[in-house]
Amino acid sequence: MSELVVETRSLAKHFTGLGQKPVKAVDGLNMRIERGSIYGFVGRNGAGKTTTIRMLAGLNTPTSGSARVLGLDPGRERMGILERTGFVIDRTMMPYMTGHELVRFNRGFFPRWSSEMAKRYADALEIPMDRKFKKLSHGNKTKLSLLLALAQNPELLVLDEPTAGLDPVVNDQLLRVLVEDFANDGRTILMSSHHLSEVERVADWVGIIDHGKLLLEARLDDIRGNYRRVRAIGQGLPERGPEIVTVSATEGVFDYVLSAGAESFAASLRGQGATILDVSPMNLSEIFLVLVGKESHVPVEVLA
Amino acid sequence: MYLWKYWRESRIVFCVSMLCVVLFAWLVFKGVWHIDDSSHFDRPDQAAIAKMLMISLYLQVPVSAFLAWVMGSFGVGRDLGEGSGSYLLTRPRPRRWFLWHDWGFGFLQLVWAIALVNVLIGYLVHRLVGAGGNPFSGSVMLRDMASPVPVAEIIGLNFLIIVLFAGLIFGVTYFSTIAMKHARGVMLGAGIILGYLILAAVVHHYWPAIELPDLVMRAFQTSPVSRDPVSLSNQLGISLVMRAAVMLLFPVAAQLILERSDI
Repeated sequence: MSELVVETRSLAKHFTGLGQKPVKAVDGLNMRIERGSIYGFVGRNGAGKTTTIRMLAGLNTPTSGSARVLGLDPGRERMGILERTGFVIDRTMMPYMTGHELVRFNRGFFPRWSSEMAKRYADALEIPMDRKFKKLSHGNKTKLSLLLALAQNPELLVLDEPTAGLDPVVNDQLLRVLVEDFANDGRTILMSSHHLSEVERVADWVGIIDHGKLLLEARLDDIRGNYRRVRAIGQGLPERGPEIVTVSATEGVFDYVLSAGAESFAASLRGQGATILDVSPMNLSEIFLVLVGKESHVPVEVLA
Repeated sequence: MYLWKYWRESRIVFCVSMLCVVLFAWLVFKGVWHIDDSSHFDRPDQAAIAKMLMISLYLQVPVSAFLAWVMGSFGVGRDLGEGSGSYLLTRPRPRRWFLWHDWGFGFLQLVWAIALVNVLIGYLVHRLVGAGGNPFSGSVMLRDMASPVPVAEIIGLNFLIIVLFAGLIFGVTYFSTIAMKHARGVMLGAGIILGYLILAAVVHHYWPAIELPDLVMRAFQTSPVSRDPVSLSNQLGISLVMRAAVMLLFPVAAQLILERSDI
């Protein structure tokens, strides 16, 4: 069994306000990230991604449950985690510092800091290092945040919505650095996002979170290989089954989404007198929409 | 490097305050008052010098309070307010490490500024005492004291009193920025101080028997009629220690809040 870099057990974070109902931002999350993987942590806005990441960084204290990052407890062994993990969470730094000053500021904190790497990424990502942080564009702020995290030489990189609001060129630059440079060294990336196409491009593991709960966690190849849409015409066809994720019936046409065993399921439908219209693979966007229960409300192409 | 960050944030305020001290010194020694010309001060009496030392203490109060109030807004509280708190607190150091570095360095800057002012005041008094041919060689006779008090001792006492007062204001403000997670905590800090002053006035008015401690420690006991200093206050050592303890309560409280709060 592979070594786990991140593991959460029934992790929960509930926010309470005076006179308000508690908000269950994260609600019993069980997450497992293997060393060397690129884990796409996907969910809608407010699904609980950022709160989870903040708990892993020790910024938020869980209401219940536990988390381990690199085998350490974020509550009690935060220093050990922070020395070995690059967190890019808010991408807001001291506004009055230039890129060079932020590099100088950071290097004293990290024993494995690489000034050579900082310079290389500054050149490669074309970051104006002599400009104050507050004067940088959104894309350059993101690139600088990533540079600082990468130059720590971390074993694990945790990125919260790293490409939000970036243009396609910067987006491509960042993803290339992450996949070709960082992850190729066998290091681990946890990347939250709601851009499913981008996750599909780089991730090898996917975790889908909604309303604070993990709905699915699997290898992306397995998801692609197993999830199927089966459309069939027939009478009295089954509406429940271990592999049936959703089923809808319109004018005698049954539309199934199956998590596995599509061929045998189709065969069993045929055995019940049904006509199979098609068995089609699904992309991550379609699977995501099915799992969060919004398939009928949001056109697939919006998130694809 | 972290201290450099605090310096980077506070340097303008600190340098302006240093400039003010230098300007004050220039005004005193070379400018409008012409202290170099000893003919202006050929007969300084003991009471006048003692009173001047007392007044110099109270003149420092508003200036040091303002400086401490502004300096207290720098550091982790400001970062929390500006959104860089999660970045800062994911650097591998305990939260208390950031807090005590801020507090220590800010306090050191205050101490430096206050020390410089008091050295200048001491020098001024030395010149005045010397110009008058004072028989006590740098000492001041207070009416109710058995023996003269060295000027250096009074200046040192003034320095400690102002340091503790400024440290208190600084700590209250720093605590408030952490509690509010915003540099706007400086307003809360000012509110706390103002609230205490109002409370003390109300208590004094309605319950004269109860006396809340002054924000600024009293170095002298004064004559009820002329308000001239007549002796040093009693139990100065104990008061200093207690006030130092109160001053330290605020960064400790800020630490407790910071270590337990979600960022």
